[in-house]
Amino acid sequence: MSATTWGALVVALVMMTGLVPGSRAGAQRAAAPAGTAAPSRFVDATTAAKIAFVHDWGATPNKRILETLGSGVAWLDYDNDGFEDLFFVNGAPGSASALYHNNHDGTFSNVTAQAGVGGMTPKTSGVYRYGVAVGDFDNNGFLDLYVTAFGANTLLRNNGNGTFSDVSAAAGVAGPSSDWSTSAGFVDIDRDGDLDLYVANYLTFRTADDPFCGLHKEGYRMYCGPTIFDGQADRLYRNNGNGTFTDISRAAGIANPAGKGLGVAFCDVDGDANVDIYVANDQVRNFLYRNNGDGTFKDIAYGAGVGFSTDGKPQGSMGVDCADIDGNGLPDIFVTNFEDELNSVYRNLGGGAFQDVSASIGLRTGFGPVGFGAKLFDMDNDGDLDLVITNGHVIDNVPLYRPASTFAQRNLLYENVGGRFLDVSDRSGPPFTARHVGRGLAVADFDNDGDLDVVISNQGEAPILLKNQSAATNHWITLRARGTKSNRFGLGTHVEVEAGGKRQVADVNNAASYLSGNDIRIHVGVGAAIVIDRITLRWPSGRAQTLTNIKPNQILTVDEP
Amino acid sequence: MIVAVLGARRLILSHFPRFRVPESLTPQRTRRHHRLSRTQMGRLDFTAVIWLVAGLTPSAALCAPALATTAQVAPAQPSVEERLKRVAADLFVRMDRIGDAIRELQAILAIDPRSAQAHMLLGNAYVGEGAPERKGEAIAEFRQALEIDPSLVAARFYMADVYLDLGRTDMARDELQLALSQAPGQPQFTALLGEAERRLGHAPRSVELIRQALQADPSLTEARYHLSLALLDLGQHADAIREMEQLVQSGVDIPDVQLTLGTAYVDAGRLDAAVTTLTRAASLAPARPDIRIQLARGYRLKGLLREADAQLALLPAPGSALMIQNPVAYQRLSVARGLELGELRMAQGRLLEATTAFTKALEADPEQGRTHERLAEVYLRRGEYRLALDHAVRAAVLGVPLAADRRLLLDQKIAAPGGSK
Repeated sequence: MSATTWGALVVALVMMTGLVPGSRAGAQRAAAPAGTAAPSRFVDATTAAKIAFVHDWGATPNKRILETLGSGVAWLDYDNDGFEDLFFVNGAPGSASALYHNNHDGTFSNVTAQAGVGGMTPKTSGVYRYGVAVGDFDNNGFLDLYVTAFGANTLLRNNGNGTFSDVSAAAGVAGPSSDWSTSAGFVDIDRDGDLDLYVANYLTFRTADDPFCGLHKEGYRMYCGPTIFDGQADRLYRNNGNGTFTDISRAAGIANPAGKGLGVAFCDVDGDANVDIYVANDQVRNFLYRNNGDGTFKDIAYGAGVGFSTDGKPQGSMGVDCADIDGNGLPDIFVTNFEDELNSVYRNLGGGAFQDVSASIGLRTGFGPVGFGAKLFDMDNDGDLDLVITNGHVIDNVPLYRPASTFAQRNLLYENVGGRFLDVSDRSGPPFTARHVGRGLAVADFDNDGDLDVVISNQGEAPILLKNQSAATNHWITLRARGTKSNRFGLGTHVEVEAGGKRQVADVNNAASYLSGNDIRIHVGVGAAIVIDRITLRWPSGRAQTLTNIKPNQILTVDEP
Repeated sequence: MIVAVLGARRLILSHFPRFRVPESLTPQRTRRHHRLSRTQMGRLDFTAVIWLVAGLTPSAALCAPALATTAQVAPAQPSVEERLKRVAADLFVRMDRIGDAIRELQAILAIDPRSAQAHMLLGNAYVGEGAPERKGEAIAEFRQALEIDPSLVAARFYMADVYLDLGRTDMARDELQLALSQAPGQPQFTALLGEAERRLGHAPRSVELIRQALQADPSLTEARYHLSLALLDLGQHADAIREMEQLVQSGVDIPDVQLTLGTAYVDAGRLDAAVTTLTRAASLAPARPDIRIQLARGYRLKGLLREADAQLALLPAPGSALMIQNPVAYQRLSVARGLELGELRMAQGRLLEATTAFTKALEADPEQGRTHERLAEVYLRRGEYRLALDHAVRAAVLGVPLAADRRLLLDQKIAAPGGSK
C-alpha cells in the first residue's frame, strides 16, 4: 500500500571521490534544452578497459537449442568502492564466468579466481549457464549474485571481503536440475525488508531429447525453435529473512507451465506500491502478474492487453524493460521480439490498461533483426528515456534458408524525441554499425562521469563495453538508495525527480533487459536544469522522504529515514 | 465442436522451426503422416468430449446462439459460464468465426484468468485457426488449463493431438496414456493413442488399439482411417484399401482419404481406380502438390504421358519460402517432385532431362536411396557407366540397390573395354 505520510528527511549526501579525470560531477555547464541534445556517441572501450572475457556458447553439430540463448552480464559494485564492477556469465559446460573489478581509471582487472565466482562445471555436466541477478539477499550491505542455468542455479553470497560463497543449497534456491532458468531478479514482493527472488524458466528440455530440425542435408541442420518443446513454470522464492528461501511459486499464482520465459522486469504498473512482474515469453503470450499485496499474483495480461502483438498473436519475446517512456508518470513496457516482429511498446494508460503503440512509436528498424537485451535509459541526459537494443539471430546458418538474414546483426540505438523513438544507430559510432550476435545487455555509469554506458554480452564472442562519449551539455543526478527498514539497496523504491518544470519517475530496479543486471543506482538526466527542485522517494517500507534544491551532476546516497 | 476446431489442420510438422508457414502453403505429406481434416470427417467423433468439457448437453450446445447474434438476442450481460457455453457451441458450428471466438475467450480470461475451460477452449480455437505458429500457444493454453484443473482430461487429449501435428509423437503418446489413466477405455483417446503408436513404428500395437476403440464406438471415422494407415504400414494393402473404400462409400469425401486410397490403388496396380480417386482428391484440393504428383504417377503408369505432364506442369517449383518455413515439407516435396518428373522424362525417352530432375531431387536430399537408384538407372541408359556405378553403390548403401539384372548389366558394361566411361 502507498505511504500515507511523508517521513522526515534524512539525507546522506556523499560526493563520490576519486572520480576519473574529466568527471562532470559538480559541473555547472550551459546545457541544451531538453530533447535537443546532440547525438550521443559511443566508443568500443572493451580493449582499453582490459576486458578479455570471451563467451563460450558450446556449439555442437547436434544444434541443441540450449546453445542458442547466449549469456548475460551484470553491473554490480561488489566491493562498495563506488564504482560498478562487471560480471560475465559464461555459457557452455566447462566454461567459467568472470568477475572484473573496476579500477576507477577506465580499466578492469579480472578477479574471478580470488572472488571464487567462476563456477566452472565439468564439460560433461551438461550444465549451461545463462542469466545473472544482483541483489543483497541477506542485507549485509554487499551485493550477491544469482546465476541461472539449465541445471542447478547458483546463489553466490558476497562475504564482504572480495570473495563469494556458494550458498545455493542452504538457501534453497538452486531449483531442480531439470529447470532451464534464464532471466532472474531480486525483488521485494511483500515489502518486508528482504529481497525475494523471481526466476524465469524457459522450456522443458530433456537432455536425451535431440530432435532434428532443418533439411536433412550436410550443413543444413538448424536449431529447433521453442514451439516443439513444452514451457516450464517460473519460480518465485520468498526470502525467509534467515538466509533461506521458500518456493512459493504455486501459492503465489505464478507457476504457469505455459510460460517460456526469457525476460523479466519489475515495476509497479498500477501505482499501488506493490511491485508487479512482467515476463517475456518466447512464442507464447507474455505474462503480467499483478501483485495482490498478499503474497499472491494475478496474471492480468489478457485484460491489460500486454500479452500479444497488435494483431493478437504471441511473439518471440526475449528482453524486457519497464519505465516511463512518455513521461505520463506511469511505467510503460518495452519488449524485444523475434525477426519479422516489431519490438513491442505497451503504453500504460493507467487503471490497468495498456495501449500497444509498437507500430507508431518509431521502432520500424527493429522489425528485421532478432532482438534480445534492451534497456530504456537517458543516454543524453535530456530528461527522457532513450533505448538501446542488442540483436543477433538464433540460427547460425540462417543464410542457407533466408539469404537476407544474418547470424550476426547490428545493435540499435534510439533517441526519444518528443515521445517517439528515432533510430540514431548510424550516427552513434562504430559499435552500432558492426555486427555481432548480441544477447545480454546492461547499463551503468561505470566511470561515474555522468552519462550511462552500456555493456553487451555477445554469443561466442568477446563482449563490448560501450563508453558513452556524448557531449557533456546536460545535467544529471545519480541516486544510490540505502534502505534501513527496507532492503539494503532500496530495490523497489519509487523516485520522483522534479527539475526544470518537468517531473520524472523511476523505480530502483536493476532487473531488466535479458539475462542481465543493471546499475542498481538510479540515473536521471535533467537537461538544462541547474538545480533539482525536488526529489521524493517512497520506500518499499512505506516510508517517504523529500529532498529539495539538490545540485545536479552528483552521485547521491540517500538513506531511508 | 473440437471436430470443427481442429479441422483447419493442414500441415504435419516434424520439428517445426522458428519460422512462420503461410497458410497457403500445403506441403507434401507422406502416408505415414496423413491426418484427417476433422471439419469434414468424423465431425461427431469428439463431441462427447466437448460436451463433457463445456458442461453442456448436445442439445443445449447446438441451440446456443452464435456469437454474432448473442448481443441482439440477449442484451443483458451473460455470465462467464454462459459465455463459455456459447463459445463452445460456436467453435463447433461456426468455423468461420474462430477470430470472434478467440476475442471472446480472451475477454473471458481477462475477467477470470483462472478459468480452465476458457484456457482449453482458447487452445482449441488457436488450433482451429490452422496457423502453425499458433500450435505452441495452443499447447500453452492446454497446459495452463491442466495446471488449473488437472482433471480436465479433454485438454490432455487435444494437447496430444497438437503434439502429433508437431511431430512430437512420444509426447503425444505420454499425454494420451495419462488421459487414459484418468478416463479408462475412452475410445477417442484409445484411437488417437493407436495413431501415435503407428507413428512410433508400432503398427501391430496401433491396429490392436484402434480396433479396440472401434469396437467400443464404431462411429469413429477418423480412427477407421488411422486403422487403414496402420494396415498399410503392415503391408496389408488389401485390408487397408477395403477400410478406406468403406469410408468413402459411407460419404467421407476429403482429400487425405482420397489421396491415400488413390496412392494405394497405384501401388496395387489398379490404375483406373487410382486415376479416378486421385482426380477426385485433386478436385477437392487443387493446390495440393502431393496429390498432383500421385495423379501424375497414376497417369504415367497408365501410359498417359501427356496427362502426367499436365499434372506436373501445375506444380509450382518449391519456393525458398517453404524451405525456410518448413524444411521437412520442402524436402519431401522437392524429392517427390524431382523423382516423378525424372520418371516421366525417362518414360518419354528424354534422358538428359530425367537426369536433371533426379539431380534436383538429390540436391534437396542427398541421402535418398531411391534417387540414387534412379540416377544409376538413367546413367546406365545414357552409357555413363562410371556415374551409374557411383550412384548404384550409394543407392545400395542407402538400402535401395539396383535390380539384380540391371546391376549385372552395369557390371558387364563397366568390365567391357571402354566401360569405365
